[in-house]
Amino acid sequence: MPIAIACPAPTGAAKGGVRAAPALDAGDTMEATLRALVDATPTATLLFDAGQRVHYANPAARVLARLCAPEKGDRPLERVADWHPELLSTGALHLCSLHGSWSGEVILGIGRGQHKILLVHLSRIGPERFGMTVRDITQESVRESELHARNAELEVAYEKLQGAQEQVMQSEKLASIGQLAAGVAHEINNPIGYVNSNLSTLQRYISQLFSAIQSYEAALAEGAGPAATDAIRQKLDLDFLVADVPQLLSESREGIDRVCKIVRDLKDFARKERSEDWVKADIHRGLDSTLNIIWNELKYKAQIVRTFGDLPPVECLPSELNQVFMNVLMNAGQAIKDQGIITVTTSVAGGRVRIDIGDDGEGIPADVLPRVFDPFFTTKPVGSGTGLGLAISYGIVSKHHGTIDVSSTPGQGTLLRIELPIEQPR
Amino acid sequence: MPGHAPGSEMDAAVEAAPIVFVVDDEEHMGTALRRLFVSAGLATEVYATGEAFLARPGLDVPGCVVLDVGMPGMGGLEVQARLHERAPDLPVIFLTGAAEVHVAVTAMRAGAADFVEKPFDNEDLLRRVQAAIARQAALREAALRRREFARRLATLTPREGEVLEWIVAGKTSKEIARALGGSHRTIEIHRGRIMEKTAAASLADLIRMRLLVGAPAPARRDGGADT
Repeated sequence: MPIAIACPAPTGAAKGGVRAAPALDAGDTMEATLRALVDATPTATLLFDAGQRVHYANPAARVLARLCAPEKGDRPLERVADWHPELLSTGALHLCSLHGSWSGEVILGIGRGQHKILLVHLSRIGPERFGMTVRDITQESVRESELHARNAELEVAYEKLQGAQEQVMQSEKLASIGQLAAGVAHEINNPIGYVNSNLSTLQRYISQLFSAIQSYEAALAEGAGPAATDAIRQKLDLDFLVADVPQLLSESREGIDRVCKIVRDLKDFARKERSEDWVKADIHRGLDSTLNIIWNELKYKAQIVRTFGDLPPVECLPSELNQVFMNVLMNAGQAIKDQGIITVTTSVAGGRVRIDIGDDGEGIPADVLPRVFDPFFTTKPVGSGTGLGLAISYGIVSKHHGTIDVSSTPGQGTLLRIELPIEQPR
Repeated sequence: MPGHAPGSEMDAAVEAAPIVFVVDDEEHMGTALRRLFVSAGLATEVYATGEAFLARPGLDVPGCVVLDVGMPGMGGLEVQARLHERAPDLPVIFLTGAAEVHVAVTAMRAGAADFVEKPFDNEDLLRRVQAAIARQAALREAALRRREFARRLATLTPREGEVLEWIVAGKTSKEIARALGGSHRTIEIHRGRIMEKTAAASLADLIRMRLLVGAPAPARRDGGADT
């Protein structure tokens, strides 16, 4: 039941909007049309005076009244406060009188702990006359706050993901070290094996020498001649001992040196750096220590041909680059079935450092080639590759603002080309 | 040999002294092993590759191979397989720097005498090598004796061979005479010839000899024997 009695003359925006419709010329028709329009609009619309007496409310406004006070049912709606005592604050009305309009969100308690969030727009449309539109945005607000919550969740998830990515990289690194472990064990157990054996032998040699000394002393005490000392010499094989002991010692020293070197290379390789540790490093040193570590994996089937150019120090994360070198070199080794050659060539081209790692192995089929940098893509049997090696290598090289490209001819071999800027862009 | 009657000792050819063959691509490992075995009084030959070792003429000898698993070129397992074709009873002791279960299983299934990890204990490895050599010597001696027994059984006539089977089955001369037809006296003569030809010291010795040679019966029709 419409309450409004007087509708004010069209003013402002309403007037301008209507002017565009040429068919409407008669004042009557216009007023009827506008009324029909406002009646039909789903936004609650009220007209009231300075005393908050309501002169017009459209059907949507009556729906709003029931929303604001559901328990009250249909009732006379003569004043704005009849909708809800807090729908219109004196502050808002004052601001509207001052500036001509006011907009804001109003939160109304509607009983049983529930709330409505309303978007209220006030406009002054004549002396002592105000229009008010009210839109229920409770749903939107809920959605919006849900969105905020989701967004926050996403941010947390993103942070977690970043942490996880670091973890994945570290575990891929550990996995490749694990893959190496057997090889490294072999490489260490060989020298340790013979050094250990030599030490036992040396122990026996020394007791032989001690008994020689005792025999000589006894012979001396008896005043024995050269024939007796010769006999001792021969009996205890002293000539052999004298010749073999220095050889035994130098071979053992060599073995210990080798173990030290392997341990040093491993430390170089596995050092966990913080990502800020950019240093100017010698790429050749990284290639050498990586080759040393995986030499045991490669030596049975590959010959390594190093052609190192003149490289300036490169600003990089050395241990991450070592991981790239290792992944690429291991792949090269695995591509070689029986015997083959792995070439490692470095040069400077176009202001960038270029590292070419090639093999004459089985090559990569054309349909597989575009996928080799995809995470989890692997052609190796289950359990022998994570499928992350080249994906992570790609990530590391990208982090260095470099490029990594692969070209391959099945049956002839594969070339991985890594290009890195000498200095990182600031 | 336990249970082996002194009377039947064979004049078997005297076996050559055992040789330890060391096959390892690691030069210093070869030297260290040579030191160990030579000082234990064992003749030792060191080879840097499986190929060089297999190229040695006459591998079917008393001794033992100490074989590295991982070598460039031919690996230890392949060397073992190739060696088996040429010298099946030369024992192989594997040495490995990286003990991998599947390698060990393959090696032992293929008849390896032992599987030892580097670093090894000198005395322990030496004991294993000596044990392998002793086992091989016993096998070679038994094989040799078996061949000798088979050779002697092959000199029996078909009739003597038949009588031998009945003797081994525990029959008396009388029972044999009844079963084969002929007089007790004839069987007694066969018996004497059998003891003479086989140089058996006693009936027990003869039976042991026959059982050692094993089936098939050495002399039924043609008097020949499988060796």
